[in-house]
Amino acid sequence: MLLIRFLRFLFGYVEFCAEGGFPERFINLCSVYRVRLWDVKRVKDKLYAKTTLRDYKNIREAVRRSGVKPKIVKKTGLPFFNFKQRKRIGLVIGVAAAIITVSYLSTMIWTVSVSGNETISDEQILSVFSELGVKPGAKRRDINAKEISDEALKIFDGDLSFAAVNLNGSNASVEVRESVPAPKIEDTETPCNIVASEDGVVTKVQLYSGQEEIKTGSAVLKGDLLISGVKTNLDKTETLVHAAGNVYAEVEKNISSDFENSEFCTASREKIRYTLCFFKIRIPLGTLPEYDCMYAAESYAANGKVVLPIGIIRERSTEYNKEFTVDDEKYKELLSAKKYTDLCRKEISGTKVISSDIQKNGAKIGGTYKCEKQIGVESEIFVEKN
Amino acid sequence: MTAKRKQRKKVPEQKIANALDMPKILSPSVPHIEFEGNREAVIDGCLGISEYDDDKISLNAGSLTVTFRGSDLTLCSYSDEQSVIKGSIISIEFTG
Repeated sequence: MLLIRFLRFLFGYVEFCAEGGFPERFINLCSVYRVRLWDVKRVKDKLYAKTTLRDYKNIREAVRRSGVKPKIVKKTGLPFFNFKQRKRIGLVIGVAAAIITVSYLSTMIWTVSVSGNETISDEQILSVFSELGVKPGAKRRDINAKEISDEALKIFDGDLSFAAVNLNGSNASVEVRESVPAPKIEDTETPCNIVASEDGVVTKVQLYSGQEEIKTGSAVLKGDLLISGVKTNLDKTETLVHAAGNVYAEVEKNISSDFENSEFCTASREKIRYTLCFFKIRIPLGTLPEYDCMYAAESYAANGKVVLPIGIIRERSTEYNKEFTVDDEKYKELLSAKKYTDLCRKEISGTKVISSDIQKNGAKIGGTYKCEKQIGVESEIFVEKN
Repeated sequence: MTAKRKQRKKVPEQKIANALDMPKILSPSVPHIEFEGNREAVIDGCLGISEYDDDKISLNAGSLTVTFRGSDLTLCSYSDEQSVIKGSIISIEFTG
């Protein structure tokens, strides 16, 4: 059985060979003197047997009375190993240091994981919980899960409906649930008109409530009444209603951009520094001056999905004060194109582009777009009460 | 006293054992042997070893002497309560 073999190895045993004398009498005497023997084998005129280290010291009387001559053939077990390694003090110190280190590190948190979040980023949640004490290197016994959860909910101010910290060994897992925002209640009581937000030619009208004041195909200017909130009843009286509907119109957009030679700076000085990190301990390898732009990238050892708190941080500090002007036409055109793209994104995103006419002359870019968009906006009707 | 009368006189322990219907296994003078095929034999009630060779092991079991014959016979464990013999057992003899 494995357990018995392990215990025998732990306490040590010897295999010996007994020659001459009366082997049967020797075995009987061992039994009388409570010396445990096993794997007793007779090979020609020699008797081989195994016994524990402690019992071997007690076979003297049995040996004397039976006349056999014992001789140790093999020594097995931990006591013999320890005796051989007794001068290797470094090994003992190393083993002790490893045990102490692992025991100490197991009292700390190694990794923090987040689950349950959808719109709020992991970094945001980890940053908040890190300030509350849940971070790699923190002591497990210092973490009060209930208090930290309550504090985190206060910090997130309604964005989270549930937060909990669970400690699984050396991993702290943060579970959150985001709040479902209350639906916006549409105001359907306040009387209002629908007016045009910009100039265009009406292409489609979707009337939900109120009185339609324009027809498809008519041109409107900014501010023109599209759907009226004053409804005329059959008996010629008027009722104020909350006008609702969508009015789509074809609008024209002109977008242009050109390169402007403003003040450009390039990097004049740059320094990179590496920092070793082990849990909370940071060991910078050198100095880092504080210039205009600081950038840091962190790399940690990972075991699959589990990121360990051991790694390297690479920091870069750059100073920008060297002026230069852009002379290359290619760069001018690139910068102008980027500016033009940003303008297009701002002006015509979310609309249906019917036609476009773009013209480019070096760095000068101009375009005319015909788009269909919803131009109706609510305009409250103010009533004076006498 | 005639020989027959002597035979009929039972040992007191045996009389008590028979009266109480005690199983023979509890009797200290009777060895209890269990076999696992012809590879292993466990003997309870062994008092000592009479002979020990590579192909023969004789055990003193109270009123009987049990001899195991075979090849590669090994005493895996031996104590005054139980012994275990392993090897290829060909035959077993009882002498008493």
